[in-house]
Amino acid sequence: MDILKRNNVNIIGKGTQVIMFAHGFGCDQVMWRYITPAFEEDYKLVLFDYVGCGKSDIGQYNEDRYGSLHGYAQDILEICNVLNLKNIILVGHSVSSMIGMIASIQQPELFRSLILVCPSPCYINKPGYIGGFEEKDLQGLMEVMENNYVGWASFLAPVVMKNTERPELVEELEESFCSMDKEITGNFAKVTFFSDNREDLPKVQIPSLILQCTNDDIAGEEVGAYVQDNLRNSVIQHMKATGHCPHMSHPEETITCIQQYLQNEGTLI
Amino acid sequence: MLTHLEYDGKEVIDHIRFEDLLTGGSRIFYKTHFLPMLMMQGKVDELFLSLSSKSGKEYPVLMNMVLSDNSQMHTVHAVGLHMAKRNKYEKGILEAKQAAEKALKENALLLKMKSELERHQELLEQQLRELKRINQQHVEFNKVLSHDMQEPLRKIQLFAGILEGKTEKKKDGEKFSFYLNKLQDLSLYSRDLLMKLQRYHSLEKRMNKFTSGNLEEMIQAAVSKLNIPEIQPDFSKLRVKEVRGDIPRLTWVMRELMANAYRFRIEDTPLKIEISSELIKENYYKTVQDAYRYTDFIQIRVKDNSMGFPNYGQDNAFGLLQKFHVESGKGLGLAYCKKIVDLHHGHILKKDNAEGGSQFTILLPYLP
Repeated sequence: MDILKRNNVNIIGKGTQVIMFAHGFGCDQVMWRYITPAFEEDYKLVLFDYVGCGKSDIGQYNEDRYGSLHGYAQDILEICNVLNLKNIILVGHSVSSMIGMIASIQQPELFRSLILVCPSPCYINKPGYIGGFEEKDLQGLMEVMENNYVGWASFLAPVVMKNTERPELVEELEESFCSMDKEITGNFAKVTFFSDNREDLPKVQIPSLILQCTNDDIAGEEVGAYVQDNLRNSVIQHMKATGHCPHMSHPEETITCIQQYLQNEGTLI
Repeated sequence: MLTHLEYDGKEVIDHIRFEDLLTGGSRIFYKTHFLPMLMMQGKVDELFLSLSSKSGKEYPVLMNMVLSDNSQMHTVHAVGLHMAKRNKYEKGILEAKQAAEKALKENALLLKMKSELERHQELLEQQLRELKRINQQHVEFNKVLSHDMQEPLRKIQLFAGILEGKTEKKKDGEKFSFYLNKLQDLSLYSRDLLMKLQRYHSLEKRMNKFTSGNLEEMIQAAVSKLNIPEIQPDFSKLRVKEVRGDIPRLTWVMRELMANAYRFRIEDTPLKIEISSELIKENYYKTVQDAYRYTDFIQIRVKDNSMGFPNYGQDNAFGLLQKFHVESGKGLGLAYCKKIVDLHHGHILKKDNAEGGSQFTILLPYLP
């Protein structure tokens, strides 16, 4: 199996130090477009789409594997191993913060540091923990997603169709940004928003930077503080940027934060 | 729209963000999917969102949004259409579609399972047959190792001894007894090797019943058994200590890895051994393709600052009779370690440390 094709891996940049960018739920590697130019000169940048997102090979989607964030972490580890990447700086947005942490717990020797953009280890409120959402909100998310896929003329989801003879249904997906397969996205949403990975935080051994936005409805201030309290060797940077996608809405500030961290990395630890 | 949402114009403008008007689920999807799309491609058409009224009533809308950038401000122009009735109608279609999809999926799944089951059954039959054959060979081979080959060697040793006793101290006598001694040594070595091979070979049958053990105590037991002052492992990073298996044999594995570190230590450098453990999730299926079940494993890492192993392939290091240094023993140690770990349905991997030295990672199913 060609892992680079499976995950639509793209490598750019003139440097040798690796920065790997992992996209979050709801989009694909295109979301890093405003960030990558600032690092191209000095770094080797590795971009990819998780199986089932963007221009990845949907045929390789396996419900059991991607029914767990560990399956997504395996995507990252397989890409690193097939490209023989070492000393990696991993930038992960949203759910990819958690996926990146899981990958680093399994093979800490591969990574140098983690840059966590709007991380949350658990989105649902639990006793003594404010994740920001109730279970019913997340049920609502599933409903909204269902409603938004009415527009697709596909009667049958491409996942079901993958072995049959109607490739045009899959092709339809590949045309727009952040394109997603309904079935896969539904599963990804479930595994993203219903996972509770709080226990994994203390297992992370490598240093990390947490980028916390102002007024982030998905991963609020309390969540960011919780992550920092439970993550050894972590620093938190409160950004002026609002929302949940600073790398798209406020790329300059995001770039500065990442660059500053990388410059001072040695002194912060 | 404000009437429907039960808000006053003054309450909303400059006070409430658009996303605050959305239901929780809509807000997540808007922020994680639509907003990135809007920022990337400048517009999004026909997005379905649910607004929430002041008293919590849902207000479904279909919207088109365009991003316009004039100098410093991002402005989003949005047009929306209340679609309560249509939404009900669509919900009906959706439910029917979901039911049809579910049925189709289940049907497809059943058909797939059926053919897979048949295939697996065939495979199982073949593998069982193969296993039976290997087992038979195993028994025969074990007999050869433990008896048929030992006996001639014992006799060679015996006769060489007799011969040596009868040698007259003639001119060639010294040379003669030199060769005889060599012969005796070699046969002794071969007998020892054979015995060890036979023990290695028959390990399956000699495994102890699985019990629970404490990793820290096992390491301490291994250290005191080794009784080498330089071996003082740092096990402050043992985050999981509960191990289930053949505890004496797993203790032996720890002992062997530490003994290796000592055997291959760099002269004039104090020996450092660090043993850490962590609970991780790994795919249970390693042989069956495309099967995934992430289950708990205890991951034990033994890291040292020895001269490490030459760059042998990953699996080669654990091969039978592999020797890396002149100081090596018979080349059975790591093979033994691997077999013991394998018999626990675990894995052992060797990695060269970035800072030099060697690092072994042992994964054992976590069975509390």
